[in-house]
Amino acid sequence: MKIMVVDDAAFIRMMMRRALEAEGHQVLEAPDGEEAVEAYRLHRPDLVTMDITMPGLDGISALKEIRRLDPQARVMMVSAMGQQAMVLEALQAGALDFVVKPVEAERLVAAVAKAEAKMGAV
Amino acid sequence: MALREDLAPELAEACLVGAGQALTGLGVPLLAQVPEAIPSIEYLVMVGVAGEASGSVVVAMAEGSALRLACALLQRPPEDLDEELVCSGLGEVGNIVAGHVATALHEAGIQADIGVPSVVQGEHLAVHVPSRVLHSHQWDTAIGRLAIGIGLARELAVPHPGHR
Repeated sequence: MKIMVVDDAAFIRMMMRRALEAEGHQVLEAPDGEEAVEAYRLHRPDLVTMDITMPGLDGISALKEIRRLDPQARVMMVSAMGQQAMVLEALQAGALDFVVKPVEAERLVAAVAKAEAKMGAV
Repeated sequence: MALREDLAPELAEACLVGAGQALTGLGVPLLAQVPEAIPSIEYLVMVGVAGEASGSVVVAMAEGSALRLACALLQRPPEDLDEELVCSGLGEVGNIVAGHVATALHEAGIQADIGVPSVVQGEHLAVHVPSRVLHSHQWDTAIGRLAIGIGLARELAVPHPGHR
């Protein structure tokens, strides 16, 4: 799959890229919500992993913007903000899944596989 | 009429426990809580909190601990790390720790959002959060001593946060 990793932390992008490329996925990166929306428009990835707390456009706003561009967009939230209200807001805005950080490589790969299975089922 | 009040000690403790659990989840198990402060704080990660509680969450450590923490997170030797990558890794630690604090607040019925982390580097750094009582714990961990502080007050006249 073509997966876009959106996170303001270079370290997280690097860790997630390494884990996803090891599974054979093609990985794009964006460091904030605004670049994520623009990159989505240009590259139409199969799946987006989206942080929430980022400078500029935050992850929930970017999720909404991407879903406005493409109602079929598949976005999985990956955030340290794991409180129930945040999870519900993301899911109501169309997020496919919500993974609470810290996320180690195995859990990330499993979440992506689960998202892939959901996509195949649609 | 007061605009804010100190966080109840038991809630501050719950926040600190949540923050400690975040470190364990990051692969930095806490070996022991210790009373001694860090001799020289050389890296400070600060994350602002806003909403029905406001203030800062702070993670502090010496340079050696910071480098070992970055190496552990990135699974790379120190010679492969540059300053930007170390700060990025430490910022993410602050993000995750503060995220767990926000979750502990939420479980107590207090809605609060966290900001983008800042990483400060220096020598003998001191932490002050104006108008807030700073609650802190120090732990000895596999990568050295770490301190987590929360300087939060409950806002009495602030609407529910609407934006992150």
